[in-house]
Amino acid sequence: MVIAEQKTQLRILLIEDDCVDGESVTRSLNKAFPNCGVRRVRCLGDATTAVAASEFDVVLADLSLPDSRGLESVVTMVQACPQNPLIVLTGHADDELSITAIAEGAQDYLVKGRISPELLQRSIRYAIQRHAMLRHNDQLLETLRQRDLLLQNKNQKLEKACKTAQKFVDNVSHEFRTPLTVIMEYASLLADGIAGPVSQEQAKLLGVIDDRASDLNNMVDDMLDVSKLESGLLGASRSPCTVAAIIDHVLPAIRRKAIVREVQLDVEIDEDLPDVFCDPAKVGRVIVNLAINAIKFTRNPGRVCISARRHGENDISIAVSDNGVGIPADRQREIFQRFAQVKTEIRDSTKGFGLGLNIAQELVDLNFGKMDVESTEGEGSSFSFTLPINCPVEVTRRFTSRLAAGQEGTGEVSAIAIAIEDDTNESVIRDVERFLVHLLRQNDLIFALPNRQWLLLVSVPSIAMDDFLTRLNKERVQINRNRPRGPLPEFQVRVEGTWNVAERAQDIVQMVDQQLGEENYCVA
Amino acid sequence: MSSLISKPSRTRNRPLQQAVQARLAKRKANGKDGGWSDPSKATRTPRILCIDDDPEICRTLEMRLSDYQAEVLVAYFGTQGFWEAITDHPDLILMDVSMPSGDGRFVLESLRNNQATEAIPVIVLTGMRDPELHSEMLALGADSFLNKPIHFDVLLSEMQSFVELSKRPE
Repeated sequence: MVIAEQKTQLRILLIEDDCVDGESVTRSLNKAFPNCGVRRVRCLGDATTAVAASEFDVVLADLSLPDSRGLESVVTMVQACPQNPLIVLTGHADDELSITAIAEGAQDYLVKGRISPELLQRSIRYAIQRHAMLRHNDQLLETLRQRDLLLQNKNQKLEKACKTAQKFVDNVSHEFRTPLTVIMEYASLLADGIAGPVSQEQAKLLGVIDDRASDLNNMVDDMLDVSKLESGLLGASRSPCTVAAIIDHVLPAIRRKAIVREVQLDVEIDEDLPDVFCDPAKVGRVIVNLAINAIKFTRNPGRVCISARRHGENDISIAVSDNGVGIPADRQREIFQRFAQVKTEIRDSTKGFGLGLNIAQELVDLNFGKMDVESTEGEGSSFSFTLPINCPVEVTRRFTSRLAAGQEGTGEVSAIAIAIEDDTNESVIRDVERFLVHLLRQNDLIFALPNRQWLLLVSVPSIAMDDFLTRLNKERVQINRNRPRGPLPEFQVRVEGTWNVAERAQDIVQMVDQQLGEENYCVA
Repeated sequence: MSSLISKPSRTRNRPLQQAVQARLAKRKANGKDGGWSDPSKATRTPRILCIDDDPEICRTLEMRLSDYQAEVLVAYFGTQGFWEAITDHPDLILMDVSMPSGDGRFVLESLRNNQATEAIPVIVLTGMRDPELHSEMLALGADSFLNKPIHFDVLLSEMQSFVELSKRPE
């Protein structure tokens, strides 16, 4: 950017039809810039020809010319030579016209008759400098626009690539499951004696086939989870749930495995546990992964215990313990890494990807809990994890600190309140809630408020708020298109604000506290 | 496909929502339990149609249900499944999603848009884990959505919520 003092000769174009005025301005110019070259033309037509033919550093133009008058001259000149700064010369100090002239792109205006060499010098220098800055600014903006476009394109391509990759993983896992289903079904069909009588020994072996096939199925689930965790596509539908219901849901599969491996399985759930706030399906996967590990590593006679109890003021702790080989103290940290497995004397049953614990830990983190391991070599291990109880303020606190600690995201959280009409019935309310949950990603949170309202905390910066609201609307229209029970009701959407999670976490917590009224929601 | 649909001009233009509502209303009108516990029907063996492109899946169901008072019909691709449903009027349909020649979406939509089949309960049984697929199939009118592989006792109890399945007398 050349803004500094002109070193070379200034080339000035003067547009002035009046001879006397022309002479006087030229004189002042020569005084102001002794080495300058002044070219004078008498009308706008000549001026446009002149700027097209040769270069100038600055243009001085009278506003009343034979072929153009007033503002029109300014507009024409700015269009004809956008590369040159334009200074307007007026016969009288008419502020209105002069200010409009500057709005149209002139850099300055001078009143003829009051022109001095000093004034000219300053005005021309400033005009050149300002004009150069403006042009530079325009260039920067243009570059920014192009970069933005480029980024948008790349982002679209990446999103598409990501979705394609995910689709591929989905398809592959589906292809895996089809033969698995047949293997498992035939094994259990034979074991049940449907294809003819089987001996006890045969039934036991068939049980092993079924068991190992279900291991394989779990591995496919693990791979799906890992790929989704990795791409950030894993959703999290966190809501208030009871611990017993979560454990009951996964217990049959674990029990089946324990029976085949001849492991005693105990379940100890403390009574009067408060509800927890989590994604029940994800927590179920954690329990399954821990239990499969525990069953794998117990030693005869094998014993595994799944227990749940209160942990401090704000948490429930779920533990899976075994009487297995244990983990050496110096290796307890690395077992949570992907593909890690502790080498033990139990060779036959330790096969697997070693993804289980790593996934379990990530899923626990997703549910604002902490994973822990206690193990004594030769005595057994106990893997436990915590889940926050259903207390929105505490959950919000963990949500913000998880976001603040994470690398992903912009570090901003926006709160959106969503309400529907009063006369909607229960099943519609449930469907709206399900829709909102489906819309959210793992770094978002939803709380149900009384009176058919929800509070969404989404990790969307204010700059991308419009995009999010557009997406909300688009998905709602899409759902409505084939919803058997008619379209979802209109949403009243109100953006409550946007906060930086690192700097204003307390404000977010306070806002949630105000919106929900803690005493109604917090379980003592 | 239009030749397979009994009254194409009427049924095809009917919006899905309307069709599903009509189907639900019809089922409700048939009695609290949806008709299958109707004494006149109780003596009849329930007929279950299994639509899956893997013949072994169909065969395991046939073998499993051989102990029960039930008749199993099979179809190995989408359009065949729809044709079976139209011609044989099963009491329950068990269906895969990804199939050649008419996938699960197509079959479900066709079933729900046809008066003869709109009220037949459909259980979707798939190896896909996509949660969006779940809501999509339910939105298209599926009555239940289960994941493969599945243990027979789970599948049985799900089927029993739609048809009466009792063991054959020894």
